[in-house]
Amino acid sequence: MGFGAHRQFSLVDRRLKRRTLTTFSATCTAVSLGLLLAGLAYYLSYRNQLPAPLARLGISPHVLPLGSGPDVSLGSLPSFVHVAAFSLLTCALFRPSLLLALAAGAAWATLNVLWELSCANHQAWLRLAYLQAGVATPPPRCTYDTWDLAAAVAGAAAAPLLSLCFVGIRFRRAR
Amino acid sequence: MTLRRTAQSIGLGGVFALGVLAMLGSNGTPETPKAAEVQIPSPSGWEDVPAAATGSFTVLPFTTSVPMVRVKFAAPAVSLMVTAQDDSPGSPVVTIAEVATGPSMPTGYVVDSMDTNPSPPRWQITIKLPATFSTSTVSR
Repeated sequence: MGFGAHRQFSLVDRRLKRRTLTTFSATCTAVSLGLLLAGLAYYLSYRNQLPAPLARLGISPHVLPLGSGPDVSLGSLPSFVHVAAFSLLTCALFRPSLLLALAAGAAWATLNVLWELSCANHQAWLRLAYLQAGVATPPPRCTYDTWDLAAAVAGAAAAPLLSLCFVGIRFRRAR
Repeated sequence: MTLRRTAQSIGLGGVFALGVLAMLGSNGTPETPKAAEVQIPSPSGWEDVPAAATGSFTVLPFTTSVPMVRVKFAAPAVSLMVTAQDDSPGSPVVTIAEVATGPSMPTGYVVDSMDTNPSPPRWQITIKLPATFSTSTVSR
């Protein structure tokens, strides 16, 4: 009798864990897709020059009528969106874990900050790296902005915050 | 390695590749400055350079010994990238760095002012070109 009750309990517990895991993955994916769509809307609304992949598709600047000109205050939004969305997508592959979320956020923020720093000082780092690698073609031009660094670091908080919610829910259910 | 671990590894690789490509693709080309006005030094002060039909400005050869250009333009960028190149065959693109202003300004550019009231902001910069530009007789 006791054995049966235990098995029933562990079955319910396993289902609960699986449901939490599925909900967590779905939430992470949905939030990251929402963020990426917001980033795309920003590019299509405010940027005078679209990123090369969008320009190659023949999309013209300001195709979305959300804004007529580039908004300086929103300039760092893509950096925030990139780190937040991709750290959430990384977390969506695993079970909710605060440690993993912190690691994913830190990894994507570091990658973004390094890329941003490579654009500083007229791409001095990038040019040096190209020279060391023996590549004669100069790197594609990019801009450096200190606010992008801050936005990337802020974006790293998204995954830990969402994970914290789910870890909290799982902890309350377990009790 | 279980099926789940394999799927996770493939997914992780995919997310990483997608993220890196998105980062490289999105941090694209800088905004092109608009509504540019160019001035060059003359014995009587700064003199306006008329724009050609193509929108370019011819400043070479300089009338003074110092190869300097003052440029006013509209650009939303918070950092500038200034390059210079004359039309001599095979002449390289020279990157002009930002320098401190002063009586003996070195080769480089100085941001004289940036008015953030209009959108995009209106800039005025003074560029001191490398000495080779003053002797060049090729116009650009």
